[in-house]
Amino acid sequence: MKDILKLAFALGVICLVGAGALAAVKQGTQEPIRKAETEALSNTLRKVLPPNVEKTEQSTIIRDVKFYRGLDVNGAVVAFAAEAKSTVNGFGGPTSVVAGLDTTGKILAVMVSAHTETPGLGTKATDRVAPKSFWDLVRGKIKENPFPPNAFLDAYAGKAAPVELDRDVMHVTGATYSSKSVNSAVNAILGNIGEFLAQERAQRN
Amino acid sequence: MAIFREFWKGIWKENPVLVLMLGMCPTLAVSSSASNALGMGIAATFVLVGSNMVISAVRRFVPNKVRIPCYIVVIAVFVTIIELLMKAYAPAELNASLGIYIPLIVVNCIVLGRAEAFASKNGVFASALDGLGMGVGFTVALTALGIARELLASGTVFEYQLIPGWPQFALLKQPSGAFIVLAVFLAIINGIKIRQARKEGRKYFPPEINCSNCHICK
Repeated sequence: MKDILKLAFALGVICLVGAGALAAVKQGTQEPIRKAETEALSNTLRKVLPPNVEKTEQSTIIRDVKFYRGLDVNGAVVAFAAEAKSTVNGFGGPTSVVAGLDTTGKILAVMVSAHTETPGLGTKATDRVAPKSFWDLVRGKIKENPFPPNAFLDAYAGKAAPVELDRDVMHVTGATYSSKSVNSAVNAILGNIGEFLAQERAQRN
Repeated sequence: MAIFREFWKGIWKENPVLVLMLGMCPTLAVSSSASNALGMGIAATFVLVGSNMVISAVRRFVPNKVRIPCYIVVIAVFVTIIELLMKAYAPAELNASLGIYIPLIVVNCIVLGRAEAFASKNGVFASALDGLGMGVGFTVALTALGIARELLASGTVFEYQLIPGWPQFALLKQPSGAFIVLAVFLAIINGIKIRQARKEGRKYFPPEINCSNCHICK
């Protein structure tokens, strides 16, 4: 009996000390984590927003689509951004899309922020990667491009109304499911833009 | 200095992946690309050093019969603290690339294996060196595997195209391909060790590790 008590006591002390340390660290890092996450989100949004946007702030959430305002140095609203999850699954699962919008609600740029598509196959419709050659690196000719082109995603620029695949924007050959998923996410944004702009105008007046 | 043997043994003689055969799951899953492999190796090294030191420090307090749950609690707490600190203070790119591997390290057999086999029976400094050596050996083996797999699968190394126009050899990106490449590595390494043993005039029985430190079989 005493044996079991000793074992339980030792394990209990270790668990207690561990839990205490975890609680302390969690408490201490809560604020820095929140700040780091907002900054990471802001950096992601800035990739699809025009270069004069200094900071972003959260606006409203309409039917699970998160809208943000892009402010320039003077605090004036110069662009909007939206983040939406797809309603149709891709080959591996849902995709999440971030889109930059101008003040009239037209798309400026689209980026896929989360996906589980097959690398090399489905990622043709989701990834913005510039092919980097090792020999260019050795010769010192590498140029860092923070927003490499993707023909499929770039085709959404300028769209203001929900897009029908193969009529307005062509899907990527060999990445049909991924294209459909990305398209549904972009349409989720485009479908709610009108309501968001109306809310913004009402708030401003 | 003799103490530094504890560090060097983790790199070649008792490499956790290629000799001790510990931590096979992350080895096979994460070595599909060289940068993933390097990231996982670095994260695992931090955890190994830290958890080895903590477990060595409490080794006289932990009773033998409950040592496994105690080690697991210590390792899990340590890994969670590292994860929280990384989320709070590490730059965003580091978090994006390493962040997903940190929770996986709790169940990495190397960490528990070294805690049981070494840290629970040796001093804090020796355990730290052992953790560092094992971590570096893990990183080296994992990165070598990652480079080989990435190069053979898509002709790139650390995402830079080395051989243009290389056809995609997708099998090597899957776990079965990982087993195949690992088998080739082990064959090469054992071949080297057999040749070495023959030159020294003795027979070679793998894995030729010093078992006196580990009491797992007894």
